[in-house]
Amino acid sequence: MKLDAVVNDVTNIESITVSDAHNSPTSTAALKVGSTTLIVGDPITVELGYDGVTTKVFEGFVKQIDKTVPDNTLLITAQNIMIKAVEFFIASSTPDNPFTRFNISAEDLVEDLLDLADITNYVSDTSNFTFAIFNPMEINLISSFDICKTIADILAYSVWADRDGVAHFEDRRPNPMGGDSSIATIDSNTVYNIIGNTYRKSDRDLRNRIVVYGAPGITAVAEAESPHLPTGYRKTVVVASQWIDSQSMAQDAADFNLDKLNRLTEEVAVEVIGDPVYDARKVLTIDEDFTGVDGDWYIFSVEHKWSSAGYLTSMELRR
Amino acid sequence: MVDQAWYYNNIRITITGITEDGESILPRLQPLNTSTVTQFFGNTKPIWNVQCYVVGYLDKESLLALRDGTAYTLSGYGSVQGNFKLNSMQVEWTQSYRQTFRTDKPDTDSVYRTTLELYKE
Repeated sequence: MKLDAVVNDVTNIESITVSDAHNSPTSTAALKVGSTTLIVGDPITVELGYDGVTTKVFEGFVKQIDKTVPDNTLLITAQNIMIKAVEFFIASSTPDNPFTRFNISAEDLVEDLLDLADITNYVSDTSNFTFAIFNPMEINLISSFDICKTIADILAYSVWADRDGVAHFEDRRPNPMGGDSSIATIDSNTVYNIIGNTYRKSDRDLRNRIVVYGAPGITAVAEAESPHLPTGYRKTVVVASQWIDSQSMAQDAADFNLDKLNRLTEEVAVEVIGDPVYDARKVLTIDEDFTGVDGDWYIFSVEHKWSSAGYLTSMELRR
Repeated sequence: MVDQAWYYNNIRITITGITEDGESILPRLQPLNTSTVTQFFGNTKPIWNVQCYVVGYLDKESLLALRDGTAYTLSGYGSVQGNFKLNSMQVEWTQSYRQTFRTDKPDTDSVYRTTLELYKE
């Protein structure tokens, strides 16, 4: 298999690393190249593959270029479009007139907040969750991404940008969900591409008591026994937001997060022969005979490593 | 008559042998349950190891001065063999009473047994 990589405006590519994760605000690409006409701020796309067939694994902007001597190579660091929201700090030009919304759905609010950062290519789920029903919601002195992430956390949603530069605000839990379809199967009986893996089962991320603090006078609790903890054993997490100003919203937030967090986390760290099809926040199927981790897994993080040492993809899978 | 002699950047060298090394970059990956997978990352430009004699202290020093990352022309058999960067140069000062390699030079000039490691451009 002949390794191939296609990157705009660079020559003599020595290595490429592209990484993304469920809990990462942006995906990142790091490229070591011989020369480039790219400058900081330029758009960059990265495609990886074999034998002239490549697939896009990254689209974003150049954030930094380092030149190293004596080998005279350039290290290009790029991040995807969500970096615009991370770095857009919402600061009203007139403090008495900040960004304000009233009686707005969560997805429309996030759309407006991303729009402030000039992110307009956007898709979302319908949340049925409405903010600022009784009191106007004023947002100032916080980054666009941080406030979007706060809203996502209240709903147990996720906010991210994909490899095509599309921003998402969706009910995307860090585990396979109903309606997910597998993008690939790692099958040790037919596709021998597993280099190695490790498996772990842990209650580290389990929370079975959710407390929500909203506007003054608004609180809600959701709790349940866990089959993985002794009876009465509670692990608590607090969701606090002044913008939750109705009791039903507070209870929804508690229930959504209990459903998301009251579960055992199974993790597999797997390294396979490189394949650009693997993408964070997608679901794949494993059928292998070594550790018995068969089934559908959520790609929590992915790292494509392409260099003279070969093309390998490392993933952390969860369910 | 064509000059058959060898020159590196117009410095006369008397060749006794040349070896050429080149390799493919083939990372080998070992899946758990099958044979090794080989990927092709490209190939290296050839490296020439040139064994030669150099006559005279000044020619020896002139060759050493070529370790500057610049590609210089290697010619021989009356034609250009390619452009090469001098990566390393091993010099052994031989015990010689009278040199006859270069009749255009004094027979009392020093003779150096030399290996040039040249990177082909």
